[in-house]
Amino acid sequence: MSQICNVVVTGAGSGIGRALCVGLSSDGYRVIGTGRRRDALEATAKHCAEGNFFWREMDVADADAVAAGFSAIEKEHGPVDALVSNAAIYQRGYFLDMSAQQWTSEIMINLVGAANCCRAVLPGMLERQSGRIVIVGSLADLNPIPASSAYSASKGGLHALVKALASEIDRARYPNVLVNELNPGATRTAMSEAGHAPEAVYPAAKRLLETPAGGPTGRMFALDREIRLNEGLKARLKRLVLRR
Amino acid sequence: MIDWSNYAIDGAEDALWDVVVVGAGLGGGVVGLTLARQGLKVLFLEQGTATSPLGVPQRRSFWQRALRADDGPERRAAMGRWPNCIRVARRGRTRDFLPAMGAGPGGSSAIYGAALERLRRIDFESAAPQGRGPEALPDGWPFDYDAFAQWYAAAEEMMGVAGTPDPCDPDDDSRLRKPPPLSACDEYLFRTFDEAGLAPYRIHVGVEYRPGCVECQGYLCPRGCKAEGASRGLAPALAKHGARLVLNCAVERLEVAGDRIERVIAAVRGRQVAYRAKLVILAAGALASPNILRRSVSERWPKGLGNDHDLVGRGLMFHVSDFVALRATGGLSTVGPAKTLASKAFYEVDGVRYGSFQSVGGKMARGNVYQYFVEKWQRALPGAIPPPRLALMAAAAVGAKIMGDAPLFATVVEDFPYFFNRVVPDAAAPSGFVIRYEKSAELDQRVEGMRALLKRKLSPLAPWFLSGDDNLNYGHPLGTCRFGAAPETSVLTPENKVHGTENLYVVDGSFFPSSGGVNPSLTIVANALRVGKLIAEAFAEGRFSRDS
Repeated sequence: MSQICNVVVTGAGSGIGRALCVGLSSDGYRVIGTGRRRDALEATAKHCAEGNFFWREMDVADADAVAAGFSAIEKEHGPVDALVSNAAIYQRGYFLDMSAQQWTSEIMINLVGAANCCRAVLPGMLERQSGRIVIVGSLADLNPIPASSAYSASKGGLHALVKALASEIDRARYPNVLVNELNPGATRTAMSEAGHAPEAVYPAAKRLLETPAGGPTGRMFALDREIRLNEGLKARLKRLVLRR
Repeated sequence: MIDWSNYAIDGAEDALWDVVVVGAGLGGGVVGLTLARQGLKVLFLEQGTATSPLGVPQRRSFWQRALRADDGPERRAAMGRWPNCIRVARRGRTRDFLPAMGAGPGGSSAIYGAALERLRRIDFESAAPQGRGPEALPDGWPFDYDAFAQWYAAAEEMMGVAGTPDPCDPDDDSRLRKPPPLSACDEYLFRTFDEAGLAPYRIHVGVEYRPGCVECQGYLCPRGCKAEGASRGLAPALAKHGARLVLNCAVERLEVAGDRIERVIAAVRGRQVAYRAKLVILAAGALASPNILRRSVSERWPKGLGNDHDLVGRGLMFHVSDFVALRATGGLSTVGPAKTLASKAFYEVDGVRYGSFQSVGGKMARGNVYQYFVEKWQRALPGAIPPPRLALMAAAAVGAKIMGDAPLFATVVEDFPYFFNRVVPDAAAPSGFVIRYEKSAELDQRVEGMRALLKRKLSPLAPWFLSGDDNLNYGHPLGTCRFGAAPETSVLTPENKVHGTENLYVVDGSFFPSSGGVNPSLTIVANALRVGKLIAEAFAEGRFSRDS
């Protein structure tokens, strides 16, 4: 994308979200970080390039708050050119030990939250025929470990959400509105003690945001390559032959 | 999306309905909605099946089409298309082919391009006889433009028409919604048209342009964004105003007692059923409505209802549409709305009526080139050797590269009514009717004239005319139950009631005494609103009351 101005990053108060805000703001983007915790957002602001970072308290699980939040952002900063849907929680707990409310809240933030944000930005992107959505996902759904049922279920849902949104956006008519998933892999954040530093995710995120019109959509990327789930032999052959 | 089966009804034949509408297309949907809104009990009888824009993957990829057999009637019907061949007799030859027509809820409008343009003032007046010969039928309307303008305004509001006013029509006071901005290529075309004196404007379309809209040209709209007979007429009539629908219901004939229609006889999945109504509206389209009249024979009507003067089914008109690819657009981006530009600069030149010129809503992509090759092949070797799909596909892929996404435009050239052009019932034909049509010499001349004008004016754009001699627009059948004041030259009264009957109306494209030079949809909607109001007033006066 050539002239991105405004990028909204959800879950900007910590971890990967904060690292993306730092990277994008120092590369000249105007970044609007959202999150539930004011103090965490203020802390992110201290790390970001001055004048290029703004923050807004917003709970992505609350559809009305998201709609109001994005309309306030657009009023203040102009159209949202790109969305990085990053907000997520990971509450460790066995399925039978979690209350229904606790379990559901995780789905609400991780999956419904992403959908809420897409709903807020997509109409404008389609009207302007220009926009990027990067959804930060995970492969936790493939082989869930104990005590991760809600997290795994929500991340599995995101794969489908990304593909489904891309399938509803006509490629020929809207070649410059691209929706993709970024799987950062194990990253040292509040969620994980192992893995690379959150800053290591930034180059891949930047690459996806700067994909030119007509680029990939509805696909999933790791930091260094594309991930193709459930690709059968026939589909693989077809891709190799047609070089898609 | 509405699920049509929710409004289907058992035992519709036991009730006495206020109004039975035969055909749930654009005219039927709109007039039915108008009457249902007034609290009348309305039953729609639709020959087509339940369409499902969400259930059927509508667009097949280029290579899928190359490698697979044809869709087959069931799939075509689910996609809202006319499922079977129609039979056309021209120049002593009979040909069966799949027409560009719709079937099912919404009729042809469900898959149309949504052009909703007004006729012009001159269309309501009689044209100078341009060497039309003794079989020409009169082409004047029983009222003038000013009397009809309010119905155009109402139709435009109902269909939410977007576009910009036609700069060379002083009568165009349409209140239009703002269309989305043009692509770079269309901006260039607009400027070039303007410099060439075409007086371009944004074509009037019934598209809401919801976020992500692809305009659904030639396809069912899965989101209710396209304004057509089902989304704007039939669906609200069923969902909000208590109307009911019988699908797969082929109306055969009407039974009369004197001048009053008593029963509607139909076949529903092979079973014969009779429906009773105080008032019957035929809206089965200009190809089917006249045949229902012709088959309704009685002692009083030996030649069929309304056919005392042998006019039912006659005066059939199609527009002539030449497809034109504009090749020299400098490789500019075509990303943007597809059905965008129109011109009526050649609507009438030196007293000769040509018609309009407009975006088709597509590009010269390989699918269109392939279609063009297939048609050429079939024309060259009629019925002899099936086209070699793969070879033609490959050729089309190369051809499309050479054409470079050239935008497609089409002409809409007015056709005048003739006694010899007609549709007749024929039980042996695949769709139960045969079109007997000959192009008059004066039509050929006007088509050539329009081509010459466009070639000259648009030469900087390197126009390439795709259609050859067979360029009749079978999607625009009109005029088979003409309206007018005199029963000797018309089938319907100016109120669209069949002359000599008490309770039978025809409200579809059949009533046009002349075809005009634009797509007929808006005029069908406007007329359905007009007639709907007249019928509602007559009901309020107790004109159609009867004992059940």
